[in-house]
Order: sequence, then structure tokens, then C-alpha cells
Amino acid sequence: MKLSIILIVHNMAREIPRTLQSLSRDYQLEAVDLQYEVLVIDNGSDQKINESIVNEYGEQFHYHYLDNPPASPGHAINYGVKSAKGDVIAIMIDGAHLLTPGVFKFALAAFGAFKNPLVMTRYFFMGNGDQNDTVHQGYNQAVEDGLLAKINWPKQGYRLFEVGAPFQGYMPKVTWYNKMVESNCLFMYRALFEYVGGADERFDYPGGGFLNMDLYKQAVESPGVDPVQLIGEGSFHQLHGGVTTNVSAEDRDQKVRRYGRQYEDIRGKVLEVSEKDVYYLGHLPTLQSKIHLRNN
Amino acid sequence: MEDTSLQGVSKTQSDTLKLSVIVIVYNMQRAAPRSIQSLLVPYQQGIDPNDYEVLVIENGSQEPLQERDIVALGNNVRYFFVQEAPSSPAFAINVGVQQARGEILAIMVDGAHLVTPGILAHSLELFNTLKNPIVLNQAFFLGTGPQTETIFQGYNETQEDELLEGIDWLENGYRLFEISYPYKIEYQGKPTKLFWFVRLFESNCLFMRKATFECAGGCDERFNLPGGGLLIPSLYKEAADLDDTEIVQVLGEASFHQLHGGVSTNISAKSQLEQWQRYADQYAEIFGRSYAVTQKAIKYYGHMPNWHARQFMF
Repeated sequence: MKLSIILIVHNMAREIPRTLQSLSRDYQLEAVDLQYEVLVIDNGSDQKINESIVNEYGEQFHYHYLDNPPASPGHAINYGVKSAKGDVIAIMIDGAHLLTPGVFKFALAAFGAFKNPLVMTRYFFMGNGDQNDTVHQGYNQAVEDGLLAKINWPKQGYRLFEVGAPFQGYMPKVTWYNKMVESNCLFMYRALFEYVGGADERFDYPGGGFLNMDLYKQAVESPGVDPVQLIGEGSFHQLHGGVTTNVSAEDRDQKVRRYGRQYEDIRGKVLEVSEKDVYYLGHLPTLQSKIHLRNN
Repeated sequence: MEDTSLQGVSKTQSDTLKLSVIVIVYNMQRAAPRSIQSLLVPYQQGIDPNDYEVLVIENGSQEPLQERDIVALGNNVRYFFVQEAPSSPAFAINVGVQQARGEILAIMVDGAHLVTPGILAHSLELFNTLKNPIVLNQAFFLGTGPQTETIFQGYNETQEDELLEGIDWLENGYRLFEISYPYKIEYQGKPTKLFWFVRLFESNCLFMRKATFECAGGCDERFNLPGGGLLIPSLYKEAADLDDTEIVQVLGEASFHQLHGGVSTNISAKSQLEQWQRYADQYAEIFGRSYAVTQKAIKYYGHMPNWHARQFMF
């Protein structure tokens, strides 16, 4: 099998159907004959998702419920990869992310161009800014539903760029060229995932802390690996009360400091951006996808 | 058909290569050796010299290159002199393609362009992952501005030599971005913030499969103006508009124009505009419609080797 998507979910009953829709054969471009599977790994949600909801999107969708798992998604990711059949895996640590329609197509193109690529999809928030800020300005799930209805999603997936904003943090301006340090849809060969020892379960904070960044960093620093950032494709975060994404900026910063200390404890050094030359691959499907033109 | 014959290596070799780079030169004793060197290993990175060849096609120059010196630059360099050449490079390109052993072609209509060190490897990578890509690379002027302006402000070949020595270009190819200026930084009178994403209508380092070149009708020799007029924009358009081709613009690699008294690059901006009109008229005459750039969706592929390349995004 070509590709396995490992989708980690936790208490996301509202968001999951849309995420699955965005991973379906009729939404992703050129996926009609693609040999792929989507493994929905439920990291011990208070309420199980009805399996039939998952299966509705195609026979290649599978639901796994982990009973009483660790709070960090590290174990769930490793479980998912062990169950996966694909040569290439895509890890979506936060199952609340919708994808644009060309993510599979362009990510897999990178696997044609490079021997051992690590493909990153840029992170967007639904709404007009970082949700940490916009939730305090009245952004909520009803507004989000309205936005998705307005762009007639999922019929026109690229219109997500009209109703989402690139994750900004403290960067003065975001362009497609900004170096990413993690991705919510991270593609690599399963062999690379195994080479770095999988997700490090010592990152045991709820949500994983720097787990996802650590996985990226371990993978990108491996010999022969080329990081590739997609242009004109993204993952869009739906509002769901996530551990760091939907709390106040102050809370988030405090948590991030704690995560940083844990990273230092585990790796013996501060987390730094990789110096490797980043490759870019993609297109600009719509005017709104030209994020470098925005006045952020 | 004009009476034109080839002098030089004429033996057709049958073994196939991955790539043939076709470099058209015309009275470029100063500029061309550097261009050719920039296409060869060890300057070019990530490519095996056994996988490609550089065909230098001398388009009937009065002051030609010395064949001996040129082929000595690399084992994979071949040199051809086109006798009684037409003033347009169309015929010379077609001659190059006939001689080419590569499955893929890289056409450089203006041999005065130096290239960055990853241009061949990166452009070729697209052919591994897409069925039938047409790959375009951006072009820059060496110097502090468009050469159409800087030559009137004193920019000359000596300055250019110093610029190139100053960055030790053979060792630091990506530093070419430090001493150059994009062909199209001005857009509707304002600097464009979109430089790497701007839709190109031609390229001085244009890659396509040889079979695709043939499907597109090759180089149309009716473009007989000196320099070729809209020869390359037309070739690109014909190839891009084929059903199964995909257009890719490379990021972070480019070609860099050295001064050489070229037909349209080293003249004033005003003469350049008038010349464009003549070119467009000829196109309309040949095709019975005005020239229009292809509207096919563009893919982007590449990297940002340094800050100087990256700054054209901001």
C-alpha cells in the first residue's frame, strides 16, 4: 500500500466528520486509484465515535479505540504506525485539521522527486487569525460552521484559504517560505519513522508537548532526509478546545515554556530549528492562497 | 532551405543519456566559457556527468569560441559550428536537438547566461515525479539593475568580471543572487512582492522531454528575426498547451545574464519595447492570432538557498 494516514483524535465528535471528508477519495485530487488507508486512532475519548460514521467515508477508513491510553498522543501515533500498511505514513497529531484537496497529490509528488523526503503541510487556523486570539473576539464553533457553509465546503476545498489564516505566533509575517518546525500533516517513509524510533513516548504531557516537533526534528536531522514544505496546500484547524491551540495566549506561553523544559530534559539541549535547506513544492490554486500578499 | 552544413563533431552517437543541455552561442568569447563551466560538474551539484551532455551550438559567429578550449572544459561537452547560420537561433536549436542524445532537453537560447549550481539536478527531479513537465527557470541580470538601464550608467564587462570575482562564483554559485537583479522585479511600475511566483512566458533554461519538443513542433524557423523574437515564448506556449504537460517554475535556481551586446537584453528599455512590438507582430503574422501567455496552472518547486534569493518574496 502506498499511503497510510494516522489520524489521532480525542473528544472531537463535531470535527471528525469534516476531517474525514477532507481525507476521502472524492475530495483529494487524483486519489481515485490511490492505494491508501486512513487509521483513525481514538486516544481514549470520553465517548467512542460510532464506527459507522468513520466507515461511511470509504472502506479504507478504519477506527481504533484505545482504552485508557496515556494522555500524550505519542503512544497512539506509534500504535497507528504499527497497524499501518503504507510505505509512506502521514501523521496528523491533531485530528481536528481539515486538509485542502491537493495535499496527497503534492506530498506524494515529493516522494517521486526525492529519495527520502519529509513533507510538511502548513498550519492554518479556521477564522481570521490565531484562534488563541480570535476566540476572545467572539470566534466560536457556530461562526466556524457559518464560514464553512459560506464557502460551500467541501465542494470547493481551496476556498478554505478564504476563511482561514496561517498560524502566526510571534512571526511578523507569514509566507509560504517561512521555515516550519512541525506540521499537522507530516509525511515520511515508514522506514524513516522507524529509523528515528517512532514518536518518543517520554513526551508525556496531554497533547504531547513538543512531541510533534521532536519527531520532526529527529526525522529531519537523519542522514539523507530532505525537508519539503508544500506551497498552496494547508491543514486548517477547527475549533475544538485543544490543549494549546484554543487557550489564551498567556496560558499557551506558560505551557510552551514547560514543554521546552521537558524537551531539554529529554534531549539535553534546547530545541532549535533545523539548519537543513528546505525544499518547496506546490502551486497557488487561488488568489487567497497567496498568503504572502496578506497584511499580517 | 538554406545551405547550411555542420562542422565539428558530426558522428551521431546512439547511446541515450538523461539530459542534453543545448547552449546557443553567438560571438560570446568572453561570456560563453563561464556559462558552459557553470553547467558542468563540479560546479553543478547532485548530478553525474555521465548522465548528461552539454551541446554548444555556435550560430555562425564571426568570432567563434575555440572548439579545443571548449571541449576541454568537460568530457561531456560537444561543440558544433553552424555554417551560414540564419540570424535567428531557431535553426541552431533544432540542430542541437537532432544531435541530442538526452531523453530530456534543457534549451538555453542565450549562451551568455550563467546558472546556479542546482539548476540541472532540481529541474531533472521534476521528471521523476511528473509525467510530462515543462520546467522553467527565472532569469536575472548581473549587476545592480536591468542591464537595459545599467549600461547607460557605466556598467560594463570589466565591472561584471569584478563582481563575479568578488563572490568567487565558481565556489559559491548561489552568491550570484547577491550581485544580480531579476528580469521582472518591476511590475506595473511597482516592485513586485511576488517575484518567484510571477508567471513566466519564457525561460532561458527551459526543460522538456525531447518527445514533447517534437510534439510541440520543435523550434519554428519562421521566427527568423535576429535573436529569434518570440521563438522561445512560442515554443513554450505550444509545449505548455499540449494536453498532458504540466508547467513547473523552479524556486531558488536561476540563470544570470552576462553582458554581451545581446539583441534584446542589452539595449535601452525604450528600444526593447519597440522591439517587442515587432516580435509580437511577427507572431501574429505566423499564427494569425496575437501572442498570449498560456493560462495553465503553474506548479512551483525548489528551495531558497540564501537570504538574497529569499528577499524577492518580501
